[in-house]
Amino acid sequence: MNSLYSITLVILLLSLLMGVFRIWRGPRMADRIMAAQLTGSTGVAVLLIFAELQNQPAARDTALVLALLAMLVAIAFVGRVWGFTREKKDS
Amino acid sequence: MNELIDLTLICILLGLATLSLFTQSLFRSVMFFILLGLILSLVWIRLDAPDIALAEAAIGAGITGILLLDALAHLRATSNTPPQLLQLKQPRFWLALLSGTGVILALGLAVSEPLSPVVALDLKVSENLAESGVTHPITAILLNFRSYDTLLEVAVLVLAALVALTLRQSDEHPVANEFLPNQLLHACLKLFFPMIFLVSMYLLWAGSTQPGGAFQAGAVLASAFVLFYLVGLKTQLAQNEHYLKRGWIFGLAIFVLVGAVPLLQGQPFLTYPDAHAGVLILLIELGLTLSIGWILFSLFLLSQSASTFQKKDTP
Repeated sequence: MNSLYSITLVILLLSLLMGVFRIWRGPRMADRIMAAQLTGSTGVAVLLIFAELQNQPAARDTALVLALLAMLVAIAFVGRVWGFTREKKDS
Repeated sequence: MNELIDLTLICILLGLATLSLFTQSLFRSVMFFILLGLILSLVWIRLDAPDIALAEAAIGAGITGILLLDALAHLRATSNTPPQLLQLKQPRFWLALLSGTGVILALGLAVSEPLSPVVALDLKVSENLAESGVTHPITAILLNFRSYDTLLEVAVLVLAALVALTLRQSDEHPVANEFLPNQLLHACLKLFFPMIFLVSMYLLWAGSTQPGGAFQAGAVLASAFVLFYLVGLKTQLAQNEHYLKRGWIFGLAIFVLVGAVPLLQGQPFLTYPDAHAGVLILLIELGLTLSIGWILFSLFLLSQSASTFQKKDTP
């Protein structure tokens, strides 16, 4: 069972790295926000794996908080930043 | 395997810190910084510090991200010049270099010194845990053994909100508030607002037996308020400066009141009677949660345009 967690963890960390790469590359702001959302979901999954691997039930609470609050960043982006710079590249 | 995980996390953490500092575009920096908060909460879990991981997830990924994006909107609205690279002749470069090196040296000194506390504090805490009224040692420390520190921390938060209020009055270029009349968002609010609220109360309740507590619950509660506001629903409560300020000091007032009652019986400030310690701590934490949530929300609210914000009525 442990090796299953390990393999999943490796895949998730790779996904995290790809998210970081996508935030760096863009090219548009919306792409970066989407990549940030991807890393948020990946973070939730990694936390759940850690909860099993380390026998740390509080990691599940952290995952719960992260899952609920990650989408707020996307909403704040659409409400605050998106309107001013629509159809423009951020550079 | 464990070392590999830790090493990867450390590499990602350092890489993100570098990226968020040295990226040219501010928006990209903000994104990397939010991500840094996420990875940091993973690292805290690896270090078996779930209390800090919870706080980092709630504050780093939630409320700080929103505040930074909001600040970005302000910068764009006032068409500030893009950030320039630091010049070598500028004194602030040398100031930053000097203080940075100082902090690194101090940290190195702290790490190199072997840990030999005069009193074994962890043993003291576990010995006296039964009298504290809660079973989670961190909550016992924060709200019973060292409640003075917590009291002053909350006072600092109130001070921060006051500073934000002062700054708002001198802001000449408020950002127009774009509400989002979106069906999807309203459905989102209906679904998520109760859930975020529930999770906040759960964290508060869980604080006495497992990781959680007032600060984490307050940060989550603030996110619920912000969601409410971003969707475009305004409450009368948030429009009136009077209510706003009362909300800030509510938790602090409860804390001071509960702490002051023992003074009447000739006991020191902030000593709880053993029999009621658990209930009193929960009462204080409830007040603190509401106030911290309200203060963090106010930090977001106060940066909004002054026209949507009424001064208190003067007949």
